[in-house]
Amino acid sequence: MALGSSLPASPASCRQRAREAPEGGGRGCAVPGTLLLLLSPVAHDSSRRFWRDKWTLLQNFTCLDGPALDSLIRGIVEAYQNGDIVLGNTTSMGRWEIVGSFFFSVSTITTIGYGNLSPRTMAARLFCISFALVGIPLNLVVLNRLGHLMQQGVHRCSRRPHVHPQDPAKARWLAGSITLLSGLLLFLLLPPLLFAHVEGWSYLEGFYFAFITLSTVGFGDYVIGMDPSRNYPLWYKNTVSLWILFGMAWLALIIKLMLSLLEAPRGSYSCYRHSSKGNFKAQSWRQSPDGETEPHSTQPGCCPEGPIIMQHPEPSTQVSGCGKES
Amino acid sequence: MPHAGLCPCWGGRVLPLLLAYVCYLLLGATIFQLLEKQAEAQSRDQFQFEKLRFLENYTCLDQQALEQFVQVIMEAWVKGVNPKGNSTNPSNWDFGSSFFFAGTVVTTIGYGNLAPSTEAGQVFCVFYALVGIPLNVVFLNHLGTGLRAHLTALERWEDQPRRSQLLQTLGLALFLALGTMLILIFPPMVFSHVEGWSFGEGFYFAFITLSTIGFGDYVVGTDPSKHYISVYRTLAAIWILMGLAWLALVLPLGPLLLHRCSQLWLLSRGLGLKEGGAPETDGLPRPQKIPISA
Repeated sequence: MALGSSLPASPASCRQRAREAPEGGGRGCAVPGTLLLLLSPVAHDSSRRFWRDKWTLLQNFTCLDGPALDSLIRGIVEAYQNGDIVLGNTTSMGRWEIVGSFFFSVSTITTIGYGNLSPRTMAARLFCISFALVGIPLNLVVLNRLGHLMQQGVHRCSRRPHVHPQDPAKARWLAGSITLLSGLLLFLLLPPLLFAHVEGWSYLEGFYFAFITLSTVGFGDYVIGMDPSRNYPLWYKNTVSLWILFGMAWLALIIKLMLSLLEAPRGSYSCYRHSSKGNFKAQSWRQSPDGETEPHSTQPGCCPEGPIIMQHPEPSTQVSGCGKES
Repeated sequence: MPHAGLCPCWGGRVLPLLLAYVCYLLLGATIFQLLEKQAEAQSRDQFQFEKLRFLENYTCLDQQALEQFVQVIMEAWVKGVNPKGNSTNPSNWDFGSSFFFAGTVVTTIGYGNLAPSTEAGQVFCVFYALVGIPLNVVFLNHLGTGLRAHLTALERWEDQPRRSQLLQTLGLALFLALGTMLILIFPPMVFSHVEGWSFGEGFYFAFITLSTIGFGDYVVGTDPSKHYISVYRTLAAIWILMGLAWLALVLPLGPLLLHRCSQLWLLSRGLGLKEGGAPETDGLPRPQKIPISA
């Protein structure tokens, strides 16, 4: 009560100053070229707000002294880093309950790594390392399969009799663009609506969360199911984890497409062209049925493959191949 | 296209795989829970205890104000403001940090100790990543393939005498071991020395970084009470890139090495088993044909 009620009253002038200052700072900041510096005024702003709150607290509760407050802050930050969400009641996603633990394993082996939970004990860390060593490849294989399935579904659709079979190149382009657009709609544009509804984020925040998740960057500044004051429907988390799985397969496909676009004009990979022209397709289809071949095997070392970073389901190579042949 | 009949077989393959995947996840969840839950409860209790003790010591504070203050601090922390120390802390978005942030985006590590909080920043971040991630993959691949092409210029490996085969395999193994030492073992030691972590923590940090998981519980160069040399973060960023390129180089090489070793072993046992029988039809360099699953 005290902190909250005193805030609006006393530091009005202070806040005004705080609001003016970042604008001045922003003009200074805009000069250098990095667009990322565009973010700095806001960091300033929230930093200022934090200091204002701190000083108000010190003023209102006169028995507090600076060092005591600092030590309190240190304690809080440490507890927060330790993964205790320190405000009494938290959701199950933020604790090592089975739900949170499951969510943690998903975020580990997909290499999203939100970091809202992270292992603290040495034993758990060691296990985490070995778990990821096995899990990340497993995840890649699963994503591959899913990508194949998705691609195949699209292909089958495009081979329906009423689509003209005499122009296979066009049909393939159509298939490619359908994959792109439907995926865009299904995985990147619609889910933010759900997040906006359930989590109370703005649409843009939801979109940002969706992208940061699916690209496996995973900052962890927005994580679903973390707000203790909301009650989430039961199907919510399951739906979201399914979305992560399929969406990653799809986004990896897109990123692979971008990759081939970036690579293509350079033409330094003669064997890439060779393979896409020659028996590339036949080979990929021959090899794909036997289960354990990784996507690397279809393009024998010529076409650059992502290291462990990107999941690259194979079908995207076919999308790019289609584009080339037509 | 020619194998439309494969589809049911695909479906048959995907289901067990998915099942195994989910089982693996559940297994992980259970074990993590077992390992972590007690420690979590302990540290939570300790925090509550400390809070109560603080309230006792400073009697003018009441519970509610403290809770609110805790929330304020957490929000500040999430926004990237470091609440420790004083307000003259350097900005989180000076050029060096901004550069480091850009690195964590394009490599998809995403520590999250820094993240854009304005709408403009978030939108820009999305498009930046959309271009940057493929670019980064291409870049790493160039580094990796360049080195690998140099390394595996042992074209007619099969035709050479056994002794030199052995030597080359040994040399390759030695090179890999040395490089791994230099890039994956040595820097974590430096980090743990500079940051005051234990070696286990340093190694954990290195693994979480290079696997691009990036929880962000350990990040180099974030302790405000330490004085880092100015290029420290830049060096760390370079290390990350080197490490990723090294992994891109090594991971495909490992199976190759394994394959050659097994071939040597078979040959030495006198089983002149032609393993890669019916070599592939196209004239692509042989060594790189070996699938990962060797």
